[in-house]
Amino acid sequence: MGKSTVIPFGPQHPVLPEPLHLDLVVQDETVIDVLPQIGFVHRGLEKLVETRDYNQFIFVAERICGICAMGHSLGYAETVEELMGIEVPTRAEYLRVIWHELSRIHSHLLWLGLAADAFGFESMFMHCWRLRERILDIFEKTTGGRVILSVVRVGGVARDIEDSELAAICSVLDGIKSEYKEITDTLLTDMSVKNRTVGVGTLTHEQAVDLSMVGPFARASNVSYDVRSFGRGAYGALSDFQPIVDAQGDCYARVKVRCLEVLQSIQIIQELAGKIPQGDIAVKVKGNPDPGARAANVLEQPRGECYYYAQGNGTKFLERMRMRTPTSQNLAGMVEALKGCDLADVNMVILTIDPCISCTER
Amino acid sequence: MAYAGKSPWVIHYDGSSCNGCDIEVLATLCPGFDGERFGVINTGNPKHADIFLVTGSVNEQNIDVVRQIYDQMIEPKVVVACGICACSGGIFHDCYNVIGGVDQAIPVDVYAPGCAVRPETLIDAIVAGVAVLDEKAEKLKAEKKGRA
Amino acid sequence: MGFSTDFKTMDAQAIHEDAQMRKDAGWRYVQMLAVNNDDSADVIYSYMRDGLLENLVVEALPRDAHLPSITDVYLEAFVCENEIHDLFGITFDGLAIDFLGNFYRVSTEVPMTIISPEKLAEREKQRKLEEKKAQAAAAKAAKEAGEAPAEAASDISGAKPGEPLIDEEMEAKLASMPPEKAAKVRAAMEAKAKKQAQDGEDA
Repeated sequence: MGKSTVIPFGPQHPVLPEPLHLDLVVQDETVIDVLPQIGFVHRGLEKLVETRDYNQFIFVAERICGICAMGHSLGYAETVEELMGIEVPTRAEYLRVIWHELSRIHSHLLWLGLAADAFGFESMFMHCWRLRERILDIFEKTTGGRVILSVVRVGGVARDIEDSELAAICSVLDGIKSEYKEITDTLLTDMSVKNRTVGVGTLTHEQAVDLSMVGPFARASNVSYDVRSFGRGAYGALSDFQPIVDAQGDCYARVKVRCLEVLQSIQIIQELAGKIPQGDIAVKVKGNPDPGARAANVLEQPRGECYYYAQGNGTKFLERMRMRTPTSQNLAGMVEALKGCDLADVNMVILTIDPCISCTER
Repeated sequence: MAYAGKSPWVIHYDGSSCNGCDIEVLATLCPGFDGERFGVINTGNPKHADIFLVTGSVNEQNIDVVRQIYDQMIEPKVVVACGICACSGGIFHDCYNVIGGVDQAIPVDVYAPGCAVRPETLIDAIVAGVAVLDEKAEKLKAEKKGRA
Repeated sequence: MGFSTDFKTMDAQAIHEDAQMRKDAGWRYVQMLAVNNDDSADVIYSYMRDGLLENLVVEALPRDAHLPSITDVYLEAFVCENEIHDLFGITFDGLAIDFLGNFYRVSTEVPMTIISPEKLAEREKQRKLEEKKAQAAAAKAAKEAGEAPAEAASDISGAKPGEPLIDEEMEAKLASMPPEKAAKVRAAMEAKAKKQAQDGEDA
């Protein structure tokens, strides 16, 4: 046993697209303790509810994070709708879920590319991002935006998708599916990938439950929790929904769970596109939230369960708006998963957890 | 500009961006837009970089990080502010923890607005940055000659 | 499995005991948040089990309150507890991973407790609006009773409700601007008023 050394990691690091700083306490080559330090991206946008009214704030909520933008605008809108007792038209609910699942595919593909890049598989990174561009093309065609969609409003959605367009989306997804299977087959059976991921950064089922973890990170440790299985909104129309879980809890399991979730999302979109009813896409919103009214809500983001809270004060401005994002819940689990791993595996473990720092700090 | 003097290597740092611009910076270099056909290569080392792509605004905590990366880069160097937050603070300009655009910390040569900034805009901005880079290189050369 | 939410109030003394009880009963920690009131703060703890999301509200805590940390039961709460300490100034005793106020390193102390001039103006506007409503209701009631006091009625119809309020809002906005910008806006407003006056004379 050598003496312990502290190695700083980040905030500017080749594998990190985002600023996260870790103090890694290492003994020889093994990490024995980790202290995360965040705060580089903190903007304080929760305070903006004081100067942006509840209709304007949806654009701020969307910019909490550019990767989960669709999810945040959806979660915010649902919470305010609950606060004010607004019923959203069924067609709008279906459209919201279709866009939300598309953004889950885009987020997972983005992550898959970055994870491949983290262990030096750069051509895989390029292939994943090439595939992701086709999802962004769908976004651009249906909403006008590539990453920030600005399509959800309190009370519905801003744009409709024509039925012919929906059919076109389904056939694009079919095309993506076959190419995607090629990628994941390569990734999941490749010897060098397995060498880097199997048995690395393991988190047991007990630890995951103990640390209240959420999202694919928890599901890879056999925690069968997915907000979508509550069947709210258009998710209730699905014939069957089972969360994808894996029992191993290591980096390989986390890669596998996310790989399968993309196929699940494609299936959800294709099923909903076939079932979508005709009708209005938005209702007119009148009045202000009541003073002292409170609403809480959860939503399954690509990275896991996200909690939203809204409180009214009788004016068009909300008294308080708050999101607790999946990464903030998983930070304690990340520290646990890093303990005991090799220094060389640190970036692999961090990437498979898929932290989203700008969500966490807001 | 008819031709580029050199292949510009870029370094990217995320100030307090929402990730929207960051993923667009990466998408610019990926197959969809293929920034690499102009010789643009992403590097993690400031000493190797010609162009500094900053996304997001600056705050108390990251202003020193931005300055340090800039100082580590070797002359001639160009700074591109990517996205409206890096240009002026954007939608977050009146947040309590936001100082403002990147020009509050370091001199900016090219502003690329947009929320999020589009890859096409970024390619244009980098190409404009190369022209500034050439200009700066000429100036350095002239100064050296003057001294000799 | 359905989903439902519930809000309950809780006593500050019960926080830790409640957390322990819930942990043993298999509840999942969801989050903690603080809400800023005029001179106090509420803290809300959320837990979930079997699709029921329970939010426990600890009401009206003083600015310098000390609460027991629940990180010895739910370690993952360290993020929220550090955040509430940095942004709201509430201290948690016995925090497992304590950043001592350096979690976000914000440029202003306890930023979320500062009530912005815009918000004050909005509240004032709301209060006046309610007063007017009450006045109007009183006047209406009095009129119906057949003894409408003349001055009260003229008070409501005589005052232009929009104008003074907008000025106050503008003042609040100016107060929050940097001084040089505020001066520019003021100058522009004066010029506009002058021009309007001139136009009035011409016409």
